[in-house]
Amino acid sequence: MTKFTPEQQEVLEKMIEFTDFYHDIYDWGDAKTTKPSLSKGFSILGDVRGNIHGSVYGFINGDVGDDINGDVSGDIYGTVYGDVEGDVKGSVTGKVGGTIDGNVNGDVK
Amino acid sequence: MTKSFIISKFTKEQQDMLEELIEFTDDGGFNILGDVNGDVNGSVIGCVKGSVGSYIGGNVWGSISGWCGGDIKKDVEGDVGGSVCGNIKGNVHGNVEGSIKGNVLGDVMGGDYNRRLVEVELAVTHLIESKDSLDNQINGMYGLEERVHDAECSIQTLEGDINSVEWDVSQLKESS
Repeated sequence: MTKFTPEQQEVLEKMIEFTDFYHDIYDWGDAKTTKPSLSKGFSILGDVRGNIHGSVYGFINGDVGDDINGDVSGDIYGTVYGDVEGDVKGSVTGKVGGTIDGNVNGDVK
Repeated sequence: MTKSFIISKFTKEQQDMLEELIEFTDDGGFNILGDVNGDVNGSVIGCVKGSVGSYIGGNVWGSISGWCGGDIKKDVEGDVGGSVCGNIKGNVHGNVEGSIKGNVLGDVMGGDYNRRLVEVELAVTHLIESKDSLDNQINGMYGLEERVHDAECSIQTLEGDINSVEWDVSQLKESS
């Protein structure tokens, strides 16, 4: 017995892939390094048309339609339309539309 | 919600996990009530209430409450609450409330820059006035040197006069 309807179960079987998941743990100490880590989990092969109440330990290949309440360890290839409330430890290749409350340690070109 | 008997491709353990984690919504989408210990090979239409451990290939339409460890390849339309540790290759349309420790290769149009410019101009004016004052003092010292020289000449003349008078006096004493 399952709580899902046959259609829902079909969606899950198409979209969910259980894997031994290797993911990079970023170390933002003195150097930008990664440490591979293995854990059991699952990936989602398509869009999540809803919310994720926890974290995504891997990448998100597309957009995030709303807020991210935590950190983003890697790069963001697109635009951030809202605020970044913490630091940006890398570069911003485009413009910053608002205020930077801290320091810019590199150049502003 | 209809409960059905379904032959699943998942193991019982996996199916149990999905039933605990996945909540379908009325519009055909679904929420994930915990972590995704893997990748999302598409978009997340809603929010992510936790963190993202790797990159995001597209845009973030909302805000990020934490930090971003990598680069942001396009714009940040809102504010950055912390520091940008790398470069900004575009413009900053708002203020930078901390320091810029690198170079600004474009223009700084804000008031802080203008205020500092006025301060620098005032400092330069003050320096020019100080220099003029020192020049005047030096000129005054040159005049003083001339006056000392004149006085020394006068002293020498007076000494000559005194010697002359003393000689006259001694002659008068001898003749008397």
